[in-house]
Amino acid sequence: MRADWEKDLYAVLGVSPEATQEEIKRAYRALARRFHPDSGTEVASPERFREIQKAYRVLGDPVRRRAYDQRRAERGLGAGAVLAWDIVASQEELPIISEEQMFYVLVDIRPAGGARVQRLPLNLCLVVDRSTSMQGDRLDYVKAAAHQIIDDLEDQDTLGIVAFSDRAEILMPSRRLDDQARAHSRVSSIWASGGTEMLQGLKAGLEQLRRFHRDDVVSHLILLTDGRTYGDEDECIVEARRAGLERIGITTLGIGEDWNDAFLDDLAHQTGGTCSYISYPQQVRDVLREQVRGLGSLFARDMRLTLRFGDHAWLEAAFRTAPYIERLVSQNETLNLGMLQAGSPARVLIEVVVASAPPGRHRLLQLELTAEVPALGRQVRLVSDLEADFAAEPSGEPVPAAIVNTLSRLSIFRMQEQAWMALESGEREKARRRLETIATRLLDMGEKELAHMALLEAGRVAQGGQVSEKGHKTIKYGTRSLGIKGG
Amino acid sequence: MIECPSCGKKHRPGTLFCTECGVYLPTGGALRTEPLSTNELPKSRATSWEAVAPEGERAEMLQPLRIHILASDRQVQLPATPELLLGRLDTAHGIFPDLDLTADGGLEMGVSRRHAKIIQRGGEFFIEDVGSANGTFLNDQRLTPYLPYPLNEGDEIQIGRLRLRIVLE
Repeated sequence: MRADWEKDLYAVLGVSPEATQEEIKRAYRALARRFHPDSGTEVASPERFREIQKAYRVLGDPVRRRAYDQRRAERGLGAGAVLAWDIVASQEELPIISEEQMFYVLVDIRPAGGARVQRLPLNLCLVVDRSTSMQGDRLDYVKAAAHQIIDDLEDQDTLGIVAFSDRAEILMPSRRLDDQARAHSRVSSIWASGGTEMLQGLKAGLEQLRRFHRDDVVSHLILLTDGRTYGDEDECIVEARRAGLERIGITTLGIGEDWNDAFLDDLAHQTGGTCSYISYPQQVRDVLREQVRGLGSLFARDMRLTLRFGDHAWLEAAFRTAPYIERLVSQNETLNLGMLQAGSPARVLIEVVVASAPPGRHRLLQLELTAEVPALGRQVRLVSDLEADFAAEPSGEPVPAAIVNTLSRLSIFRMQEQAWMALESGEREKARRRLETIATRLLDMGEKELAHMALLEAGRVAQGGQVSEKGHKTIKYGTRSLGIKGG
Repeated sequence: MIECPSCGKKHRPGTLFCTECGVYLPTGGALRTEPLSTNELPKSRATSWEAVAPEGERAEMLQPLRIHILASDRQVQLPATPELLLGRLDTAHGIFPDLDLTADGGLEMGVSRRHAKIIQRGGEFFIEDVGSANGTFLNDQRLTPYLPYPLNEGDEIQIGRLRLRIVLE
């Protein structure tokens, strides 16, 4: 049975959610006259009449109406809703069996239909690696991209630019972009020299961001590098974690093949940000613009999904599957989902193990989503219970296509994770088999370039060679963005 | 426990994909299948950033879409994503349409496995035939394959011989 709050009582009475009590009363009277079983009109209907009466019992009473609005808002329904979510489970009914079984839950999160999307001022800092290895094409493209960003930003935004090699240099302290010529000339003055020591650059960049950091701006550091940093990785992570707590985000962009993907991934994850792979310097501009555009459409941040399991279920694994694929690690039952951008809904897939349970309906878990919506200046919270029936002979409804689709893409991502793991532990045959399987699956999906790359790397492994860095990164970041294909 | 028909790994009942070899377990579909012709497949978007938000266009609000399948009187709420595939599920070929029309008599009605796409751009919906065998019709007009046509509330589309109605929220 559907709970009361699921039904749009306003629609039953044909009034807007903003209607006054007087308007609601008038609408009710008109409808009641029309549909009353004794009204003698053609449309007289006892069911419809009961429905109208029920709706009026809630909406006609200001206290009940407020409670109803509140409950609906919590569930992402109704006019007060800011965030909307859809929760789909693999099965409504579970078979009663003695062993444990798998159960999948798909959660789609997006701004609610009527929610206002407002661009917040951006407070950005570009932290650019200018070590000797960046010399030539790479630095030129990075500079061109930075020039583009300066042109793309709006007057209310602030931008700082830091270059680092063995030490950090603040090329342009964070400032409003009212003097673009000055910003352009600063970017032009970046020269390559020295090695890569990221910590200094990171610290200097965060310091610049903090000068203009407020609750109602989006503060974000974009780190561009082509190399590995030595000896200061742990300290970098500590800095990033601190930034995350202050709600300063970090995006890392790795150019070429020589950077440490595990480290840059980790660095960005500390703040709920992402790491992207740029295989050709020509891509820098597009990737960077895309990042900045995404930050401009930020709708919610610090988004957290808490899973409270009942007695019969527990968490096996959780993944974000859109806008990109990422394994989520639960801390105190909570998954950190980071930002939600207006144009790209977030999708989370939860794998649940269900233990044997007595027949009947059981609550498997409760989901609670909290997020900060800067445009509103407040936190938003959604709560939903997920129940399932345990039956000896379940009706066997097919698993929703969205879940199959998502798992299909996810399985490729997971297989490549396992391929690298197998390779690291010296199980070369296993790694080769997995890479070949990935290639087949990718080909079936029409991902020809990625498929060829996987096949090439499988060949290298078969011949006793090493996987190329380019192949590793292309497959890793390529299968991860299979998530953007949605579905 | 259930066993993967391809690699033999054991899984809990209810598991959908083998974690070892990626096989879809409910059917145990064959792993290797003949590749589809290239013009039937979308181009790789692994490195394409434009796919997320087209150049020069502000990130947009994506809306969910409802489709009413007239023959079976089934209403389906489709997710708010930039692109939706309409067709028939074929796990062996890795084709997982967002709207699977198998249960609506899709095969008999001439629905291709990859039949048509519904695309969302700038707050508007478009339909595009993706080279289906029996064609896609919009309000009884046959669409030229691979060309997007705008969709409006109440439009009737025909996938093979199966009629669907678009319900916009």
